[in-house]
Amino acid sequence: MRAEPKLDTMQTVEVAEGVDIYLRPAGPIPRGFAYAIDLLLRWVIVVVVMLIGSLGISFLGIETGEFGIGMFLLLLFVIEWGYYVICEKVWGRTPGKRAMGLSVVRTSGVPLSWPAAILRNLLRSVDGLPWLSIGPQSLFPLALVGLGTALFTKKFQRMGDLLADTVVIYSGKTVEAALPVLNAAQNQITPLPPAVALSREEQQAILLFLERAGLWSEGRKTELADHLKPLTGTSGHAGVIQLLRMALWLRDSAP
Amino acid sequence: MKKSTFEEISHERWDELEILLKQLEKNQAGSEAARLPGLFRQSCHDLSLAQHRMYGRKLCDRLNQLVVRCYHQLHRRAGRSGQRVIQLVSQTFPQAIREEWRLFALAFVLFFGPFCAMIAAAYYAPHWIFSLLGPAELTMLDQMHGAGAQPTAPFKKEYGEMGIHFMMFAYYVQHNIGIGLTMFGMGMLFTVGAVYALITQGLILGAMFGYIHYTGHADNIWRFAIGHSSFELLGLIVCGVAGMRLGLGVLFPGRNPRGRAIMLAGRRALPILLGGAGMLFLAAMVEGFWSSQRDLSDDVRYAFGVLMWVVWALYFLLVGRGMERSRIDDP
Repeated sequence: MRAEPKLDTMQTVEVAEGVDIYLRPAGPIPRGFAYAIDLLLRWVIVVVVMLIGSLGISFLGIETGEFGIGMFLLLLFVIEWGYYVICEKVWGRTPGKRAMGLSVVRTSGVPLSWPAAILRNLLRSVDGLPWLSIGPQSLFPLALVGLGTALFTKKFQRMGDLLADTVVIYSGKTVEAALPVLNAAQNQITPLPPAVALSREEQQAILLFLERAGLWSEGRKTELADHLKPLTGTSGHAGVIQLLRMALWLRDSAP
Repeated sequence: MKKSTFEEISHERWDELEILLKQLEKNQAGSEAARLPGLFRQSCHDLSLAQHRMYGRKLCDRLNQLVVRCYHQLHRRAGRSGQRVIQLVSQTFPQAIREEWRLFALAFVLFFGPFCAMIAAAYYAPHWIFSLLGPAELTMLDQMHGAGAQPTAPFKKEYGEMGIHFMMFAYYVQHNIGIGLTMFGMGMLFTVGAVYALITQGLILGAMFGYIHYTGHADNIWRFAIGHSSFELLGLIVCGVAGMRLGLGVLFPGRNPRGRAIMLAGRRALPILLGGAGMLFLAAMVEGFWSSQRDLSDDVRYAFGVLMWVVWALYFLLVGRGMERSRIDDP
């Protein structure tokens, strides 16, 4: 693990083969949305089964009676305690996490084992505290405990994550990769070699500027490019263009 | 080397790996799976090169994804869960309980203290019982265990006995295991949650028994409950022990950083919790399918119940003794 202060939330893991892979831990907001989606889905499953059990079957003239109630109670148990454990062990993510492009792994990057999946999800009762009562038998988590713990740990781990040594990461396409990369031909920007020799870090910073430029407003791009006035020789919009040209040269034409 | 040249000479290998990974992830790979370690090492090398030569986020991301997916496949655990369950039952669980005998004794007292106190209250201070149980609970208790009543009395008989037994079993699974698992999680709060749950469960169950004692039909509830009592009460206590173990990890990390101490406590607590949940599951089966039978004689009921207490005591004391200490292994 690197010690120097960091600009982003990337966590590197060195695997036995000697290469660093990086994990991108997900913060509370996408995870909150994933939770809401899962909660909705679990409700829908319960309600649909209940409707089928009480209406559909009696239309067909089948009486399930106590057996039906028993099966429904078992379903409630599985949905309440098994949903997350099974989904996260088998697929590494719940449908809600899938929708948000998240998945769960051990902090070493390997998929969850059964013990880890069980431990992390049994602690939902604590991480969800304080629970808000929103109707008969229905609780909604304000999740201040989980949120608090997540904000004080480097990898946004809630109590259950700490216990099971797991972390929720972005696993789908990353934001940057999904953005259209600036194309030299489209923007009529020609590559330009920088006037002075740049160090590796400086080159990397300029390349990152190119990759992320699509994310920022014009004002933000100008503000960042203005820091490099000594290099580009101009400021404002012209500076941005100069910088992008150098980035293109570094990306495509550098020896 | 320019980025485009690098991509040109390597992309076939990456594509091959991508296809192989897709097959592996669907468990469809055949003999070509033997190529994985080699391709993995090569991709690790490619990733290092791409990072060092700053070939850009997009290429690095793709290679990183490939490496992570290979890593997942290589470190996937071979399935042998049946064997692990047998080991848990025959070794890990009873050994873990013996190791935590102090916590077990404490949980035992925390539960049975209030339980016995509430039964005693039936004779000396019945108002304690009525302060805990409302009219709804009292009516239900009268129906199930009152004069001449049957535990299955509240249910209609028209669907047959088996249906009723199954429903009771399902209810006890949903209700009792839920209590046990919540107790475990809440123990994380510095053990407070587990201790509180043990005491309240002792109070409420004690009050229910106490009320039946108070009405003078004590035999009615005992003959029903004795069969599954060992499973259920010990199961709850064991879940409480697991919860307290978690909380102790938070409270007293010892020489470890707190994060690591919590992790270690989790590993110690998990076999205990799984055992406790298993006991509660068995309790639900016994309660649903045995205790609620109508035609068993009292002698058989009491004999079975007492025998089960002895069996559990012997299980905790003797099983797995002298064998190597087994733990739940975790990569």
